[in-house]
Amino acid sequence: MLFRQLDGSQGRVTIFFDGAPLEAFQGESVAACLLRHGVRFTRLTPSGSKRAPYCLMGACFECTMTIDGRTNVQACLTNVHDGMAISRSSGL
Amino acid sequence: MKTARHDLAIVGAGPAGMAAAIEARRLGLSVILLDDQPAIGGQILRGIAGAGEGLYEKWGYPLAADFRACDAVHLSGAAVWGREGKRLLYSRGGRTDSIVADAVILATGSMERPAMVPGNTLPGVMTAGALQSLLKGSGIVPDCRFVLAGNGPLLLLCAAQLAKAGARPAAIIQTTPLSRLLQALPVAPGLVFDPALLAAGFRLLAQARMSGAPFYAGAMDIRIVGDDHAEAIRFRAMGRQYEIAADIVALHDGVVPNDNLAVSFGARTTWNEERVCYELLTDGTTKAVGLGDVWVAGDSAAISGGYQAILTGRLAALDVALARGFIHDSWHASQSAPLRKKRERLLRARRFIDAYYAPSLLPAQARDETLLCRCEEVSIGHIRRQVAEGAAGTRAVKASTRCGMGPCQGRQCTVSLAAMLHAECPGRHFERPSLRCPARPITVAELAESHHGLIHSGSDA
Repeated sequence: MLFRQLDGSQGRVTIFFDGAPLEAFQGESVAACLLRHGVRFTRLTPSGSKRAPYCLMGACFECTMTIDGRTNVQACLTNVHDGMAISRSSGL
Repeated sequence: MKTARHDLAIVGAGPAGMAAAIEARRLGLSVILLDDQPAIGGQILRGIAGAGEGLYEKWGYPLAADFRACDAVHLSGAAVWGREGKRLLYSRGGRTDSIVADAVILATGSMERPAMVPGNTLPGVMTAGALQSLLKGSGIVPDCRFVLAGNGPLLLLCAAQLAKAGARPAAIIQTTPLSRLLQALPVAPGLVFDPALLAAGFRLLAQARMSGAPFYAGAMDIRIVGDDHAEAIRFRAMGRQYEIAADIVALHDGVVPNDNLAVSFGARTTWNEERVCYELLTDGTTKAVGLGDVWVAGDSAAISGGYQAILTGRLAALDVALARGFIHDSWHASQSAPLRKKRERLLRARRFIDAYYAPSLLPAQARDETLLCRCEEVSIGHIRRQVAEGAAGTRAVKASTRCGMGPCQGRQCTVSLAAMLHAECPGRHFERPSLRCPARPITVAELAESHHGLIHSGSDA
């Protein structure tokens, strides 16, 4: 795995990444949750190269994803909630 | 549209923003603080609201407690993108709303300087601050082979904090040139003005060494290799070539002001040659030059660190209170004088940090294939060719390469492009490319919805 959660006692929720359920901890960001599950990239550039969360503070826009139907949402600035639906952005 | 009105709006909930809010409330102003993160703290105090002792500097805890007690309105997850008259427009959860404020303090902090090394856009490459954010904000640490590479105190701090949390880096690769100590020696005596900084420095060095991670000093010619994602880092140190396998490479080369919002409002900047970044122009107080009713505090104006951001945050609140008639000259003078004095003393110590940890991974030394603009995928070589063909100027390069025209709106590449041009044409000054509203990418649908009842109601602003 790429990352692990230090405190496993936190409450759990379920989010859906490309339709597949992922276990998420309450209070973690979408970017953190995906990294913890070993998701290697979050978007494709116009030329098709893969990009992943880079700055984790809202300044690089590499983690923009489609979240709950909204396009180009920054996954590092968005905390998970139960039932959240996420998919990758491409070609922005 | 019904809009709340406040004496003061502050953008950014880091040390500067929180300190400004506390001081302004003390002086009787009504305050709203808008911040794009899920909770208070900014970067340096990220996660402090829910944390125990240990991860943060000691001054952070009373600051956060005082902020919670000061009764300022705090709007989290609110990304400010524009200003019309006295109206601040912000996007929150996909919807734009606005507030009206007589004065604005921008305290948008700093961001890490992008490290110009080949492979910097491969998945698995992050900033050192990103690893720290994941630890502080989401409580996660790397569970794979990872390395830290670059230059600056944050690199060591990050290594020490991660090691303490049980995640030991496979290597700490320092790119600070070995000759730097000699160069910084003349300003080293200034460190006596900030004994806490000096002590923290030695503590960090010891902790980073004690983490047990292999330490490489004076590293150069760094590149990150991998097909689909980072697989290894290559570099040269002490005349030897190294390759270290890593799934995650965290890069760091110091921090620069995060000034996009101020610049989009029309704030003027100047190029600081020693610090290799733009800084906001102020009129000698905390008031931004070129803007009405906008003050700036903390690292977003010029880098001086988290603790000093408290001082400039308080100074900005005092300046606003004076300008808006909440306090008299004499009270303003008596309150701000000790803050200014303390700041001047600490700034003398800061000069050593500036000199010793001057950027080390700048575009001038980088290979052609390094991507300078992440969003539009513009390489340093491409820009070099454009400059050779006559595109001398930030705007000319932008127009001929699209550098800076992607979704990050130049946040990542502007400082690198300017550093490159200033290095290629010594003695010339290159203006910071202008930014327009909206300062955050928002959808046309959101803009249209906000337009209704907003843009045409400027009369009450």
